[in-house]
Amino acid sequence: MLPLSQALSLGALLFCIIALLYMLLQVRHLPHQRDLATPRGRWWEGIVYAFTKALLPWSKESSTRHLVSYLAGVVFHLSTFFALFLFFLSFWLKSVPASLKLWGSLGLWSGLLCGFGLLLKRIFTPHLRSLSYPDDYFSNALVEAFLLVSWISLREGEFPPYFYFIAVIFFLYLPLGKLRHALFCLYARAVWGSFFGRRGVLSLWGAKRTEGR
Amino acid sequence: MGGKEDRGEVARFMEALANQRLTLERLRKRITRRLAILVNSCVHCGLCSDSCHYYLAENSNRFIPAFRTDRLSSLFRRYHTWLGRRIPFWVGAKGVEELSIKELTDAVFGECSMCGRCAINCSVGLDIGFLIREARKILAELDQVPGGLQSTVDKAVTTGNNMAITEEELIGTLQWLEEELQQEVADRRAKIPLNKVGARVLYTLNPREPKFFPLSIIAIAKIFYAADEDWTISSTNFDATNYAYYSGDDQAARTIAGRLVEETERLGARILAVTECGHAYRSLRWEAPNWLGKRFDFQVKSILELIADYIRQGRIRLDSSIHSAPVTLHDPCNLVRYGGVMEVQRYILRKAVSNFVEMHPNRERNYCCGGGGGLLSMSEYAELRLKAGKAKAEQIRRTGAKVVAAPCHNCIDQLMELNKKYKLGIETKTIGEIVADALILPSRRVNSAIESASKKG
Ligand code: SF4
Ligand code: SF4
Repeated sequence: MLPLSQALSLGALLFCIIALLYMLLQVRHLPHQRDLATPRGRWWEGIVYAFTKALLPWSKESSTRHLVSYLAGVVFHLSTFFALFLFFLSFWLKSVPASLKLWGSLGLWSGLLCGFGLLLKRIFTPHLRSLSYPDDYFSNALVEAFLLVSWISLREGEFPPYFYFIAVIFFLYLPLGKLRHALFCLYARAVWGSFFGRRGVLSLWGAKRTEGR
Repeated sequence: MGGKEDRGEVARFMEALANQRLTLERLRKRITRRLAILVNSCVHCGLCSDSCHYYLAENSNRFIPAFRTDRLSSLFRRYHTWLGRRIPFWVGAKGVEELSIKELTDAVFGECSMCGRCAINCSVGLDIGFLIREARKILAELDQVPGGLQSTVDKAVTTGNNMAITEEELIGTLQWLEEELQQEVADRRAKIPLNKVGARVLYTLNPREPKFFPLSIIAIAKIFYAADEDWTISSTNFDATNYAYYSGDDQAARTIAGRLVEETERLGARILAVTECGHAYRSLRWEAPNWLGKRFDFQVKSILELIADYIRQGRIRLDSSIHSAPVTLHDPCNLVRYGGVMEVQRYILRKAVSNFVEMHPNRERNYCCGGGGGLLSMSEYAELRLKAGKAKAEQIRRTGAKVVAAPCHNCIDQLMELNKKYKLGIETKTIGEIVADALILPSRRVNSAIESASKKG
């Protein structure tokens, strides 16, 4: 028998997955205009570009200009994925190996610091504040809380019930608020890549190859 | 007196109410897959802010790209998300009753040129230009398109071109231009063929050309002559522009594009060549097949692609020493960022001028001049449009160029105004004009022209 906290967290995860799948299906059922113009470039090349080259910090003016924020965002997201990985691992792990303790803590702390920095930036930069709603602050804080309990669990060498309770809130909130961008951003990025890839604007090998088509 | 005011108030209230209902209905009808994905994806990171030339010029929150589109997204959140329906303030969901149509109109028509620079720079990959057009579509259905833009569309729909040029006027102008061309190339057989069935290329114009810039038509005619191209212009369906793309009126856009497509099919041309006009190229090359729901049996090409082909195939030769002053290139957003025509103009300029200087940033990262989005036709936003052109003006100044090649007539108009406002001391030209000046005319035809002239003499 699973302890209650663990069972609840798995229930919340199931809810999260079902809700995201439902949204995905809803979106897939919306009307969609197929592009009939003869392509100049390749849509798939644009998608590959969107998930590889476009992520490099120097590939976009916005990430170069705001390098610190961009990198902080990357670290914050990577350590969130790591915390999720820990969550799954926690069901199997009897004791936390020392190497995971060390490197995991480092990763989680980097994420915590970066996330906190981004939160402060959101609070204190007027133009960012004008774009933000309570959901934006709460989502950031919730992820931070998840990172924090993950780190505490790693340090303690065991996963206490509050780790799973925070996971419950995290999974329940994910499809409802801003955190659902976890799903939609991937989709949006693919749409972006295929749109500009088809038009020959984004190309892995430079635009020259696609001219004349 | 008071009664009249009250009645006015009531009428305004009723109108607002009707607008709200319509907005909701339109929004529901408009939700496509792409729209739903985009309105759900913005993470409010603000990284797009300084990619927008409006924000750079004005440094005000309302010019942040994400801020503009949030008006549309907030409506979506209010009616189509669980939290938005229950705790709207939490997720920034706003109902139609909180929406000011005037504010939305200003934001999407007057304060955005749909240039897509933010789309290239968005950390997620949101095409904000697309979202802005979706909002314009809703406003178009509510009859909220600014007067100048709407009348340009109406003229195109009712008269066949956006400047209401009659067929007689066009034929008169082209005949006069044909004589000029013959003098210039010293060959009486040089023609501007009209309505020629079976010509390989149907060439289209921006009505500003016959009206204000006839030299750009002679330039292209001269290039066609030198390349020995089999081409024609339609005397009735010659307008390549499509301001309905900007106004968000898909029905009108379909009508306007449909005429050119039918004309190309009627004349049996294999290539529909679009004059140097960014949004015209985008509309015909990329959007028209979707508006009309069919694939075309002919190719849609920018005139730049044809010129580059002529140079590559040795059909025309150029003397680049004619242009020794530094020449820079402006990349029109709809031709480059949204059109994918990126390298041919550079290839042509490297052959046609001896001192080509790139602007930085360039290609898909280039700054919008500020004249797109139909803004040139909306006089109420003229002051802001020129302010927003500051980034472009600075970009040009940094190149030190004296000539700016701009393959778009709308951009040329804006650049001419920026030239005055920011005292740039530049000359703006189409690429066709630059190429025409550098043409080495084929001796074969020059010789035969001389021969026939001496025979006549
Ligand atoms: S499309 Fe261009 S003008 Fe509009 S918000 Fe984006 S960068 Fe600014
Ligand atoms: S960069 Fe993209 S995700 Fe970030 S605020 Fe701008 S539009 Fe939204």
